[in-house]
Amino acid sequence: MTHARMVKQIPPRFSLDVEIPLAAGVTALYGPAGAGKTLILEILAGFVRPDSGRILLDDVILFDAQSRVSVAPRRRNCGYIAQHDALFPHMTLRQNLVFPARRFPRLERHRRVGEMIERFQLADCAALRPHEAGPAQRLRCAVARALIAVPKLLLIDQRAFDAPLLEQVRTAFAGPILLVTGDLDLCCAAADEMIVLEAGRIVQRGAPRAVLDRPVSVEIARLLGIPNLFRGTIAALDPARDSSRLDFGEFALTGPYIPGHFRGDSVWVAVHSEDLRAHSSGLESQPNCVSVQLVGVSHRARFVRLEFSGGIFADVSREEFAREKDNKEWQVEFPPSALRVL
Amino acid sequence: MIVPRYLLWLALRVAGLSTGISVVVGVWLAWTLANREFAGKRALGGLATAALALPAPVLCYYLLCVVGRVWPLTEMSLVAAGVVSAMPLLVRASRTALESLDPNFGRAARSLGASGWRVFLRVELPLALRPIAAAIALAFARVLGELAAAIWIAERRP
Repeated sequence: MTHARMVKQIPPRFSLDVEIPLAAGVTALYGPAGAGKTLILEILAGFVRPDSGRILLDDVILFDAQSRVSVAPRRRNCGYIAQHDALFPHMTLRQNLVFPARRFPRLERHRRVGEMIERFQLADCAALRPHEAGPAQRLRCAVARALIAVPKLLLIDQRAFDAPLLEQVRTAFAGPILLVTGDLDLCCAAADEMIVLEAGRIVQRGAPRAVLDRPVSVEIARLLGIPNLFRGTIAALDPARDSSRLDFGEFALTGPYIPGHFRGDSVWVAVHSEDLRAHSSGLESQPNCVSVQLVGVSHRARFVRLEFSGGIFADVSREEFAREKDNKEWQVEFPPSALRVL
Repeated sequence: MIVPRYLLWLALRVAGLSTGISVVVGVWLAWTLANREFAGKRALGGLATAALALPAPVLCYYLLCVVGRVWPLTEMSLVAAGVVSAMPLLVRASRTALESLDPNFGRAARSLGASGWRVFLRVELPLALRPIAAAIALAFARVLGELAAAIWIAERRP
């Protein structure tokens, strides 16, 4: 069993109070800067001592405030990949890999180092010093170095991690991986569980897709970068037809039935910008279509984000935008299934 | 003026020995000051800086007064005086060098299972070697320079 409960006060105002049961697989820690993500990793690795709590790794106590047990970082068996890769600059990449392998007999050490060099494609740069190697090679070397020490828990505080590298790590390491990330795409692509942190508290946890689809509060929806957040009142509820009518002042929408609410209740509704369909006006008969004015265009890597009057954001493909960019009048369609009542 | 050969050899021997002792004790002290929290840390750091600021002949004079009364003035008492004069320089420079290291290197090494000694010898010392080597050279030169004052004062000690 791997389980961590930790409380840490950092004067004057920050306090961390979290409980994380770590299962095998990737757990992503997501949250804004200053939410305590790195602190959690530092506490687990043993670099920072919590005020209270208990950390168990494979049924071994690493920290217990009550019995005053605190295992030294070097005996914790936690692989730690820091924000900056922390490869030793006076050693070559190969020597960096040999460093944690010293405890193995000579032949075993060479076998392990060779295996890691091959697995993480470091053969070309093994003789280089870290400053001579590229960022991707350095990152792969930092991962290989952490894995060569045969950790029981892998802590990754690297924002440059991508899905292919994480998959490579998963094939080489079967234990729990705790990953700090601000990349929602990476969470969805590679994480088994996602923990959303805010101001030292866990505000939501679950499968990444479930968290993204069903944020439990408007604050979490904002944290997850959902731009369309509207406060409205429930104008009608029809459980028989599984529908509801939501009034947002400037416009009204039809959505699915909202259990646990009454007519007249005030609710927040979140809509992912990629779920909205923006097109030229002329589809009056379509349900949930709202006439809007285009107020801003923001070009992203893979799509174009359109900002409309009323604080509505919609993502369209670049081709679609190229076709429709000369529109004078726009309509945004809200598919009923895209409305998430918080 | 011809400097007698034995005097030059004595000066080199005393300076080398006192610098060697200062390096071992001073770098350990600097590492402790840079990495550990303990009562009296600020006082110890302040003492090291104050000793650095004290003019060399004054330091030597006081030292020889004390050492000369307890033991006869021998080569070893000169070495002791040299250690006291070289130590602050080494402690100060080594502490600055060790404190300016990125703590992530030490953390990474410890998480990879390295003991405190191994982290120091394989990671921290090589990374801080240049400033420490410069401090060793300066300390050696300082001891050598102050030896003249020490011997001169010793001749006229109270």
